Amino acid sequence: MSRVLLVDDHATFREPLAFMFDREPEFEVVAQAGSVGEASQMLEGVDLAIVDLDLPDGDGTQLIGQLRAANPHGMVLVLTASIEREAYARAVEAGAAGVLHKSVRIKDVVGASKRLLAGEVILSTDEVIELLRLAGRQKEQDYQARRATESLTPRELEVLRALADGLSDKEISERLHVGVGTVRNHIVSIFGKLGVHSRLHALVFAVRHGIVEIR
Amino acid sequence: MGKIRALIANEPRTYREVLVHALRDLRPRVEVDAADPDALEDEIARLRPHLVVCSRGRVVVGEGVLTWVMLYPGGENRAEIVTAGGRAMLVGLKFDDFLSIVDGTELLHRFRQGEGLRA
Repeated sequence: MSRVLLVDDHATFREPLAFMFDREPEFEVVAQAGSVGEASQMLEGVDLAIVDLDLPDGDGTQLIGQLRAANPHGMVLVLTASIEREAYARAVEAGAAGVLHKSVRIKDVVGASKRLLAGEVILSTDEVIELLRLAGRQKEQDYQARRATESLTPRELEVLRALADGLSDKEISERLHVGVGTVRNHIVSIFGKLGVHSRLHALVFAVRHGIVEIR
Repeated sequence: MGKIRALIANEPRTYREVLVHALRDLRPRVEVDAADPDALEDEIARLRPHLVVCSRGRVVVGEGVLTWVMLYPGGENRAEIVTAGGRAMLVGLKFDDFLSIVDGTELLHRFRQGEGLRA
């Protein structure tokens, strides 16, 4: 009998899911968790973890490596409501054996779990390659974004934060005690370094990469 | 006394299906149907449920619906429970809590049918 861990913060889904898995002779649900922190303490001896990605204290992807460290034969089936291919790619790159969207039939979740534990694959080679390529592209983009961010001077960061606060060029010049022309020069420089073509695009970049926060 | 009818129309589908399966097993006296959320209004008119579970749309108690559960709206970990007697918001609803809501709806139905005092 395979030992199953269920990780999802929606208890009204997770608990009846455990009930369904327990009715199957192949499975025994040995633990349930609603967070990454809880699940981290429950990985020992788990053959299959069914893991949501969007957990209150972090990304379920973190658990994939942890499970493999606790049990090299352990597998993770991601069950997520996310439709972002990048999230699937990150999970597969981290070693997930499969990724299912929560809109599938529940019998498909049980069926995929049985197939994984029987040593079958549920992702085709083409799917895995496509997801790994996507993960690679995403890493490269993240790396480039990090380099671009690091190339900003402290003054340019101040200008970017002032833009995020909704200030006009004149207001920024007053805040930073510089001329309006200097502010515009900084903005042109920011555009060049970030590879963006508008103030809005610069703000989107800055928010996405954690340079500024929108309150 | 007739059974109460529960109409489960929440999203995503895995959530809906586990609730349907578990309710049929654990509360066999409840008639349980599943519906696509887009067909909710039509299914309410057709099945006349006492309990409705959904995750989006309009919450309306009346015309035979005794309890309405808005479960995980927008993916948030909360539920809104509306009955003829009031409205409650619960965070982190457990499955046992959900079963209690089902049982409460059944009790309410029995009272409405005039059987409550004999229960």
